[in-house]
Amino acid sequence: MRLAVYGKGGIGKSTVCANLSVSLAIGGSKVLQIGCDPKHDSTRMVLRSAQTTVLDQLRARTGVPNLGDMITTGFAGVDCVEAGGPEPGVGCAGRGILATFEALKAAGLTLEDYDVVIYDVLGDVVCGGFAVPLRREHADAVLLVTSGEYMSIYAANNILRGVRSFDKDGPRVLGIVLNARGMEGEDQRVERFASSVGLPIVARIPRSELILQAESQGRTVLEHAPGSVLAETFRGLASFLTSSPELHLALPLSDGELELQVLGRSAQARPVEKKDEQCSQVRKRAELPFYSQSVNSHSILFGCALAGAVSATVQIKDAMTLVHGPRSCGYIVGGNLSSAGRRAFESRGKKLKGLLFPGLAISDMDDGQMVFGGTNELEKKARELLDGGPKALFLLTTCASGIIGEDLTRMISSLSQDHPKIPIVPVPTDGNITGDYMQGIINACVAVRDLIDPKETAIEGKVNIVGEKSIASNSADNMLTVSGMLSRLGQEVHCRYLFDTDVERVRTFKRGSICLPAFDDHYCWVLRELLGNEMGMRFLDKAFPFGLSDTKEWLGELGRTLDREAEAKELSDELEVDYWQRAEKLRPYLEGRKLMMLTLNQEADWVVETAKDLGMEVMLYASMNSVDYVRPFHPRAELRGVVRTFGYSPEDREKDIRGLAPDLVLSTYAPQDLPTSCHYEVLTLCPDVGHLSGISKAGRWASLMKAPLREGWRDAL
Amino acid sequence: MIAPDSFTGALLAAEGLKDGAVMLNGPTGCKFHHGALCEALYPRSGSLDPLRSSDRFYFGQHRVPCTYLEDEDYVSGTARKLDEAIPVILSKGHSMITVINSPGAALIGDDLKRIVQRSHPNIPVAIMETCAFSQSLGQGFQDCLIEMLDAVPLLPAERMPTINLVGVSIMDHGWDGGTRQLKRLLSLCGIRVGAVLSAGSTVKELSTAKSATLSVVLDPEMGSRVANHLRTTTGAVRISPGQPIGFKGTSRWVKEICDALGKDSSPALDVIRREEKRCAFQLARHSSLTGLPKGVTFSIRARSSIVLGLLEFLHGYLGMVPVCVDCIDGGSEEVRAYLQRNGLAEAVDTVMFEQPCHIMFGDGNDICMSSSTLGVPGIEISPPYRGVARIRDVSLWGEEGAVDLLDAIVRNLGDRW
Repeated sequence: MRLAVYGKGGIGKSTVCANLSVSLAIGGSKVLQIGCDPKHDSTRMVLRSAQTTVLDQLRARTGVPNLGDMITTGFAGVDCVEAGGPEPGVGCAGRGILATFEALKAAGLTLEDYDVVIYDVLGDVVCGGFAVPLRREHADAVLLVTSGEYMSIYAANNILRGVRSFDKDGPRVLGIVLNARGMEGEDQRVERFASSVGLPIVARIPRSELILQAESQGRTVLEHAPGSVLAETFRGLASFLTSSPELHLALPLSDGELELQVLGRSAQARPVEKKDEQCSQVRKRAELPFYSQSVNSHSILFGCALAGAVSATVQIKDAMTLVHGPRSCGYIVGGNLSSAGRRAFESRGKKLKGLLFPGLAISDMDDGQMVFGGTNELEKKARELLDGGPKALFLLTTCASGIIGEDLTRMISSLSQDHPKIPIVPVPTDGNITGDYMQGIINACVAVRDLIDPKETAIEGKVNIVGEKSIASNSADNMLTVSGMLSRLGQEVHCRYLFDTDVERVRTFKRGSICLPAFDDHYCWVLRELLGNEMGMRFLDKAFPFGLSDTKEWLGELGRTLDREAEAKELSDELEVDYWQRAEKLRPYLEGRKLMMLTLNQEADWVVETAKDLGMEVMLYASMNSVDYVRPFHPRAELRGVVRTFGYSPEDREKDIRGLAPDLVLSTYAPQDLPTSCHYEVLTLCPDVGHLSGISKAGRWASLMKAPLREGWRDAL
Repeated sequence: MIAPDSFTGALLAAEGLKDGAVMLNGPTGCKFHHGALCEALYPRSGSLDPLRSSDRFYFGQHRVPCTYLEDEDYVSGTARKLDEAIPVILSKGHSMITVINSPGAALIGDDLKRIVQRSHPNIPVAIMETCAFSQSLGQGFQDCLIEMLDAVPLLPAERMPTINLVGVSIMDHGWDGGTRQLKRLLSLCGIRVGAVLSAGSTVKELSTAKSATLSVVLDPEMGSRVANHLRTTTGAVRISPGQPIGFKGTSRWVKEICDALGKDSSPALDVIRREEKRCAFQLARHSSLTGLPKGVTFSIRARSSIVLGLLEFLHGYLGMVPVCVDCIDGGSEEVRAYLQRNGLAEAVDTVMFEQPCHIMFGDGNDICMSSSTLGVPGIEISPPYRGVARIRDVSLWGEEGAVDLLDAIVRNLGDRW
């Protein structure tokens, strides 16, 4: 038999377990008792002394401890294991139980070697870790220990709930052990509960000084007073367990039923409003500023806040970013960044060391730190980094460190005292518990704002750029384009928030006379709120332009804002001449051609405009939206005649290609297995900035018109 | 670059099965990178069109479907989403599913086995409740592979006259073409490879792997425990002939396997020797004009077993000189001993990209960095790679791998010397 003994903390489970183990062992059974309570006192009475816990051994060594080191044999030959746990208030005790069972399995523990295995488990099934003994491969029977106190019965009922969630396939509860406290009406109250949940009371242990006497000598009652009535009670319980007793279903009561039947009073109705408030952090967030669209709209989170935050903080080149979590988080985050770095280098020859080898470190939380907490190791790592003299240190948390409740406050305070000149900035992420990738970027922007010196003032001729996408491979080229236009207006870029910058530029952010948003998206809207409304920075209304008309409008607005209208007009005219010269060269190849355009939730007016300017007929301009993508799709009014903005499916795509017979289909990804009646081309997710956004692509459309509709290699697919 | 750990190792082991699938019980943040990585290293679809993978749990990628855990799931548990996800994955026609907890999910303590059984799967299901935290890639890879081996039935009952290649992952450079070459060489000696654990094998091959007579470990870090597990559970003998890199290394590798099985290695050794002679002739011509490749300095970053194989080939065979050696798995005694023996011990203390060299061996990031910071050309020997796709399935293994390496070295040095 494998028996899990559950009950409220302090109710006497360990006393019951220890005496039961000894009784069974004296009766000839081979017994293993596993203490699963972080306070690790389950086996003390069997061993007469405290046992080195499995978690202590895991903490003290690398690799799995030997079985012999984890098991100690006590009185009457009872084998004992004590799981142990972290210091109160740190780490994760539930994880400790998981780690103990993993270590025992890895060391080769064979439960079949024992006639009886007894798990002595912490008071309540508070999380999955403490429910491990309930798993079918561990326990085939459950025993509840309770007194007549209401909270003890309440805990027993909760345990039945936990058992029920495991036991859809059959009964597993043996019954209740009444470990009496000597209160008035105690037996009757427990009997009412037992009757209500359909369980027998399998033993009644009276309140007895004998137990205290035995425990004071570090013994079980069986050893201390084997001839006592109490010892006989435990022997009776052991005998019951070895008699193939009937198992019962877990049939817990509702809270109301419990109060009514056990206490004889009606339960107070639970205030529904309060429950909603407690359970829906997301809802509370939505009322606050600075949240991503996914978090605000309660939709599925794409990516994690940690990755987003790191993608922003590593853009501050002379700072270090330290992530508190397992190495996999650092690998994933670093992998995303380096992928963008390689793309930029390969496709555009741009060396982005910050992406290829970002200033990123990880605390490498291991199994031990998941149980005991890892702030000591994190602090050590942070000090190593600080000794290298970064201009700032960003500290970010993963979901793993967030789940176990790591608190970095004290550590940051200590580090700051020792390194007063280096800002140490926590960025709240907790992996994806805080939100999605975009939420992480936003959180980083909010945290980095603290580095901005509010006393700095604007200097004419300097502007800031905000809201660039750090992993887009053309961000560097786009910057060149924008810088070129700005220089014609007598401006230079001061700080890019947050892209390819440094701590000093962030600190002096307010020297920029105006902020130029890179995109007209939610991120830039958040930055307007964060840096504009809250810090008093001026923002240009219009985002970076794509295509000719957009560029002209942008230059116009910028010229007016900076009082450089003449220069802006002159540049605008030059760009328009350049645009039309290029367009005229392409027109002979594309005029009259029919275009169908399928985007993945992004506007591409710059393509439609170019197509029309080249004399192409735009048959369809559709967004292949799905409910999980929430970005708006609002093409310019003059383009709307051919637009489908929502619910466009792959089936629609195939039907329209056959029906509309386009010459060219532009799509975010070039689809396979579609009709071969037209050419297909990839539509970039992040277009190049400026008047040539579309024209630069149209050169390739013209080339496609000279190529065969279907390439020969496709026949080999 | 932060190296992958045991979590990635487990995902790679499961995604290395040809007809298997991973069900990641975790957030999308753990999925996207691994989904892209697995599809890049072991492509299964000709199109990356996300609309082809628009099913719930897939998020536009063909690989590594996930339960997209969010804050409330960490409190309430993941059973509800798993109950919904597993039937979807089962409906895709895979022959096996491996359910893997993300690091965060591993802390919740959900009983995955019990949850999975509620969907009544009619195919083998392996479960990784925890991949261990921050442990080596090899540990996660092997832990998962052992779970997978234990989850599949033993077919057939009799011992098969086959061998297993153990410790091969889809992270190995050109693993597909490389294992094809090794299978070809061994087949010349009458030896059939039953399963490659775990890269490109089917679930059926995984089953028959338990009947093979011999486990050949290519990389101890990735395969020694799996081989030991097979030895314990099935009695298959284990040998570790190292990596089949270079002509000598490949010859030694083939001979050791043949000797273990009592087979004649000469048919394969003849093929290797012929190719070696042809290359030596070309090298002699090249060397007579330039003196190369002898004396060419190089830096290398890779797993220890690869580093050792390449040191023996580049230094011992070609006369090139390592100036910086970085084993991403911490290094092995064999590597240290080789460097010590040859008076090259200082190469492990050198900081990458700070010491000038003539050529770099590493992953795509290393090559980009050496090219941009030192102006040094590089040869990719491990992922991540630079381009979106690689047409030629170049590997380090076998005599063809040696030829490809020589060709790359000579071409990269040619104009720059």
